[in-house]
Amino acid sequence: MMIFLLAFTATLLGGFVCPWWWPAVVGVVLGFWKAGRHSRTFTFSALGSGLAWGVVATFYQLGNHGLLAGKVAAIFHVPSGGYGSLLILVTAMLGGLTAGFGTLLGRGLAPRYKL
Amino acid sequence: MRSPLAALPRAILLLLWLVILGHKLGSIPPLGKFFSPFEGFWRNAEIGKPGNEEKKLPALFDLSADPSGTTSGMSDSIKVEYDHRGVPHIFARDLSGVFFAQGYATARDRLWQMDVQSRAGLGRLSEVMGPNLIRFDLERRRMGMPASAKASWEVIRKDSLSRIALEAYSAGVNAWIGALRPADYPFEFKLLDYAPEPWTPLKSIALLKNMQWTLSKGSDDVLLTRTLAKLGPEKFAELFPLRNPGAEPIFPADLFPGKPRVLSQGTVAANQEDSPPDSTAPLTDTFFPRPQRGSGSDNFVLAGTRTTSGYPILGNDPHLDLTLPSIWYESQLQGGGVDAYGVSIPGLPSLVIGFNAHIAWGVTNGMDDVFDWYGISFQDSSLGAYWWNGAWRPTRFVLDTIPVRGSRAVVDTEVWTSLGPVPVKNHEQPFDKNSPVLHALRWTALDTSNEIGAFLRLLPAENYGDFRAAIRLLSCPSQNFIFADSGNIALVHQGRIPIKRPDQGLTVIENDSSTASTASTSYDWRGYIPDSFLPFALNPKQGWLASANQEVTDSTYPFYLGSGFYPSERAGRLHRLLQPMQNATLSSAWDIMMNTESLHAEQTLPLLLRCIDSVNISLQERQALGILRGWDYRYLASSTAPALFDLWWKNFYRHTWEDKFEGDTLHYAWPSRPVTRALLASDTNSAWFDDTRTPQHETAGDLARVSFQEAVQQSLQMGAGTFVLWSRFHPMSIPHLLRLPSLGAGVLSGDGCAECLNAQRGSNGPSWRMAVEMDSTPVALGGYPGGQSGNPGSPNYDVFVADWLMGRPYHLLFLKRPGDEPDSIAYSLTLIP
Repeated sequence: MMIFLLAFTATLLGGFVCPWWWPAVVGVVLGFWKAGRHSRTFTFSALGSGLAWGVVATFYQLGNHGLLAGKVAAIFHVPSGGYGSLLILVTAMLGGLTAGFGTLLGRGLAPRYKL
Repeated sequence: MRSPLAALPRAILLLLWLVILGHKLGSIPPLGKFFSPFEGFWRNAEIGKPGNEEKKLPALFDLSADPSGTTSGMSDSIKVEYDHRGVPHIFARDLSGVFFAQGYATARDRLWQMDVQSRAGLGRLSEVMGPNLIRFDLERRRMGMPASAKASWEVIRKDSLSRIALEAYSAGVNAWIGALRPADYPFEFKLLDYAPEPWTPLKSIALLKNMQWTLSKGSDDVLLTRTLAKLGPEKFAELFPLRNPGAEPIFPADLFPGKPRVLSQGTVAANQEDSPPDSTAPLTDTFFPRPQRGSGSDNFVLAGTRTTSGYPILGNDPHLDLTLPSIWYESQLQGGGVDAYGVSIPGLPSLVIGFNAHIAWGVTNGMDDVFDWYGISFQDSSLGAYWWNGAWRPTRFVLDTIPVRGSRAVVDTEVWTSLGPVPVKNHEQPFDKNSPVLHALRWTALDTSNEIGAFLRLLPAENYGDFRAAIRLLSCPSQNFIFADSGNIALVHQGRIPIKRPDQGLTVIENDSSTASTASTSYDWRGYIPDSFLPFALNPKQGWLASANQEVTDSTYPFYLGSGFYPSERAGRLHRLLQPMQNATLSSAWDIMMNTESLHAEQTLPLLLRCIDSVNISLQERQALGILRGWDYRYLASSTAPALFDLWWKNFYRHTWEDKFEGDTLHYAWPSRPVTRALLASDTNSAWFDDTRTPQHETAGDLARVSFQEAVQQSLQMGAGTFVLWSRFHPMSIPHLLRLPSLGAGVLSGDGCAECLNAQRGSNGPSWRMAVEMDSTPVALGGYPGGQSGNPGSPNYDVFVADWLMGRPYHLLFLKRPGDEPDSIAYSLTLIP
């Protein structure tokens, strides 16, 4: 749970000042520091990061009344129904996976980790 | 203790992921960057409305160097007030401030458009968009556009007004760019994954070059040459006659009495060097049918005697290919003796069409032939020397490097002769069907000139004299400038128009080695038509003036202006509407621009109808006849007659000419619509209507009947069983510059046709409509199909389209002072130096 919250907050706050691959950094740090059972760190850091991206995207989506997301979805041949939720999902997934791969590396570097 | 090397595969995995997400893959943008809600496209999703803002700017250039600056006590800060349509009203102390703010405000709304269109003009698209655009860039460079832009800048910078405007404008754009972080880049920069670069005056000039390219490039010289060879001179002269049958010129004889009576060879040509043209050469002044291009327009003006208010009313709607973002950007500019409202081209300082407190002006494309191909004899395949004026001259080779994104730079060798560039070398593919191999291009767009200076001087112009002095600087593209002030109306055909022999440039000018005289200055242009001989009219008795790209003059005018003029259908409609007009208002002017009655249909349909025997026809054909007979020639979206007529005429035209030209429009020019109509009207048994592929002798009537039957079937098929509606048959759309469907304005349903004054059709049409009444404070209506914002994520991106389609004008807000009419102002921006 902590991992989830940490990932979410760090991604959200850092995102405003850091480049797009910031979730990877968050993931590496969390993976290194919180190395525990395999799937939990990965899952929760990915979810937390992904949610941060998804929430910010949703903020723009709602404020913009889906205007731009609809056009972007069409460019990618992605259906844009339902407030472009699919595009928000893609956004969240990309952020989440970036954090996830970072977490994998972080855990791999952690000296405590035992295969 | 594990070795950290065990983590290597994971490191590689992460790195791979980041690299993939961080780089453009083909046409897919870097997904990580693009989808990041902090940095990517989400940031372009406009939220809410802007509020008042103050921006401290980096140090500007020395304002005291600006001669226009006054010590009026107004502070140096620049106020930009945005009205509810997003139009910036700029108030500055002097001209530098005005153009600085114009650059800043335009960049704020349209930066990517400015970038991509200036790159297009300079042949620098492949630099950011990859190898697919190499051919595009190569054509621009081989045709001499970037070279001409650079050469023009050297001339333009000597005019202090132009230099100040261009440099201030650049500074303004750069002030905007300088404050951008990647997260703030316009949407298309993120989609294409490149960054904006600093703006320069050269990039502004590139936009002027684009205007010249669109409006003055191209002719059917190559196709006509082949057609002439195929038909022989006699038949060619018959099918491609002196001028359009039925032409209604802009300046008929009685409107322009000041022209010279006799072409006296010694007096007219500005720089005549060697032997005069052969005066016994036949006057084969001919007409070139021109495929529909985005360069038609209408303008007109009514004198105070014909308006309710007693003040002149001016109308203008330039027709161009429509895009999003729109080619036009509205603004008001006030400062340094200037106070004007109108439309500008994003990237160019000043306004192109508009009005100030004293005058209003507008343009239609002149269509003179200022673009000629010359056959060149090279000594050998190295192209090192060419024959000119009795000797072999060394070719000027120019090495040009085109950087290409994601690929090796292209190093190209350009070939230049004293006439101009040779765009297509031996063994190379022509760029299009009208670009011949190993021919030199003589084109006024490649001369150095300062059109920007003309538009700048129009801004503070107060009367006809100022107006004439301003437009004198305009060389290319030639334009019909319309003018009104509170008591005068005028129309001037302005441009740098070569003096040519009557048969010069209508086809490709070949270098016949048996008559070396063709490869000499005797076939070069013999100077340019002096200003005093350019047609114009001022306060004519008739009380109105108009132009619609038709023939400029009648046959009494002694100079050959070319034959690329549009048929007089729009012009004719304008004349018929203006001639009886009394008590006109702004509304009347707007209605003229929205008129959908086609003169082409009015003149042609009766000729076709009389060929139909209404007895032996099917029920559907009888229905179609009924529809056509009851038609008022209006092209309305929900009407079925327009498609029936269009199909009928197109079929008839095709059946008439296809056997003569092997159905080939790629290699041959076909006779024009007016020529075909004239034949139909005068000689239905003409041999031209006979299909040479069949043993029978067809007449026009036979072709008309077959064409009619086909048209009925085609209409029913497209309409899925009923006659197809006009909006369905020829729908409209406004595409994005990148042609991505979702970024355009989709499929639109509207009235209008290419031959109507309301020329909305396909993705071409009135890119701006403006009507101005020259009261002591001008009152104006306007509108264009787009929006002030170039951001697809903004509601202001295409907010004007619906109103434009329906012909609903906006009242243009012309403020006297900052702070006036506060209810009309949405927010303001103050720029503090």
